[in-house]
Amino acid sequence: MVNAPQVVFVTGASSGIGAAAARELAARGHRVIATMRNPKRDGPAVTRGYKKNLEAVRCDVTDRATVDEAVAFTLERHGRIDALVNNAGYLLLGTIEDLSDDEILSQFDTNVVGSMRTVQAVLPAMREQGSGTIINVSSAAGRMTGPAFGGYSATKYAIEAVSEALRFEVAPWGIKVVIVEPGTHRTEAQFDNLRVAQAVLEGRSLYQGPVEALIEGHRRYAAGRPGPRSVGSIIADLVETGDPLPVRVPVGDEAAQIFSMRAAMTDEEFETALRNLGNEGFPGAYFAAEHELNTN
Amino acid sequence: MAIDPRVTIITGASRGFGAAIARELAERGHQAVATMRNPDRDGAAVVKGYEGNIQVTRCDVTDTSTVESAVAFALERHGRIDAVVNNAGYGLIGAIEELQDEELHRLMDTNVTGVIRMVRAVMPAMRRQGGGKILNVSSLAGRISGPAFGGYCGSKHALEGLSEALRYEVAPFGVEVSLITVGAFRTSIQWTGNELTRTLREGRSLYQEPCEAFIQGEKDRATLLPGPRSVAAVIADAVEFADPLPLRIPVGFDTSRVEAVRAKMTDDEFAAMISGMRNTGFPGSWFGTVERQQKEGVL
Repeated sequence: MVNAPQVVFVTGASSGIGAAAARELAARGHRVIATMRNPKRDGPAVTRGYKKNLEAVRCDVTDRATVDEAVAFTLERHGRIDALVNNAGYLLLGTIEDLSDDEILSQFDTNVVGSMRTVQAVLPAMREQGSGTIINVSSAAGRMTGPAFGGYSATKYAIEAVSEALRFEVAPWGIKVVIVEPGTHRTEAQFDNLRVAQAVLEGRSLYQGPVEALIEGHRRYAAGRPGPRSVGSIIADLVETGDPLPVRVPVGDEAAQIFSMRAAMTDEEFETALRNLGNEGFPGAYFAAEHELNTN
Repeated sequence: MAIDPRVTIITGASRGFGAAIARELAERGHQAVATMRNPDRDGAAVVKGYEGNIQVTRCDVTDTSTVESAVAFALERHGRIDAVVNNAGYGLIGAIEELQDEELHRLMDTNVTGVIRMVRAVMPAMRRQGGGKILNVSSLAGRISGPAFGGYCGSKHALEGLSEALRYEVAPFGVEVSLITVGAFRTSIQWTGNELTRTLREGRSLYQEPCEAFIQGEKDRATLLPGPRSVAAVIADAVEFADPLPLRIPVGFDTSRVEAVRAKMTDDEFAAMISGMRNTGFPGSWFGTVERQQKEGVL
């Protein structure tokens, strides 16, 4: 029932989409556990104004013990978990050839395995309740990719597959699973929290020029994009909706455009369209700088 | 990273989506001119807490002079209009056979001609500025249709058609036009925003039971749906961002799903699916009732 306050567990809630979702849910009167790695440092800005129903709690999704503790804390505090928002994740830019084992595995550990850990931790409570909603934050990059985005897209494609399988598995207990696919939003993920392959940081990438152009172009592009409020608001809608949830909910102009292109085009047509996008951001800036590659 | 404050004029801002849009823009530091038919009655609740960012002014989109005076008010106050959100509109419930000329004229006058009146009024300023955004609030009812809702769906289909034409016409002036395709939400339209056709109001419609089932189904379903805040946030995004606007921006948990289903099917397949629905709400409650009436020999 929409109007009853829901207990919602949000990961990666220190900033960006996670913080926006937590604050929007709190503004609508729900009880929110906003989890983050460093609540002492990042919590006050997130909980400001909502002291009664929004709490910052420590949880590092790469550390199972902290996940279990945060879930136990939530159950102790509120007696239930109506919804889980799996949002923790980061954007790593680098070409496939440049990414190290450690860079690839770390990103999977946060973006994919991290979401599976929280799912595993909340399911016993949701099963007992006979209800629950799991909202996995994917990305437009969960259904498309491009140069230097392969590592990140791999994690988001993976979370889409995980979510689709999970939907079948937990449906018998009345537990709903939905994938949210935002396009580019002006969040810390695109700026301070953006990670770049070490090879590029050290200036030794064979793809140096195009990747640098891409990073700069992507940041400039992201700066003109909307902030995360609409994504937070749509996540709150999904927590509240009593209807069955669809598999995917794309958010905003960019995701809708990409998916309608994808649906209408063959893979080869889509590839050509990406090459011809010609904007300053992703992937236009990369293609514009491709002439700098030493291909002899 | 901050976005320059934008000036937006919104129609139908007394409640529902319109009020939420005005308040969301204000929350983000923009200036919103919230227009409505009765600002004395409805204005204070919309402005509350955002006195510096929301101005209320009278505008009835069926009355050209009030549309023009609202635009003049916004220009006098802010010197420009960056975006207009054409949101004013209402629903009409009744079978096509029974809709009255007068009911249809009023519906189209608000939902369709009302938008054109506002476009005419803001275009001179947007042309002078060399740019602007026209955001027309449409609905899944602009993409699909069904029994008892033909009048409303007709008006939204018309809005889609005119918006697409307008997009081509004003692009040379840097003016962008976009349709916001809104899915299922809990707003006043499910409760008081729908007008009923006369026969239905008087209880003598030949389609009385299925129409009543449809209305009840919508009311029941509305309790399970979220309010207008995310629609407001998506529209505020469209006001803010620097990229070219697409023709359509869907918002709502079911919107992309319905569009994807529609796109994958032939007309006949889609009609068969719609007619096969028996759940509550639109359009299943209608078909469920017709089926029962047929079994009982009423129809």
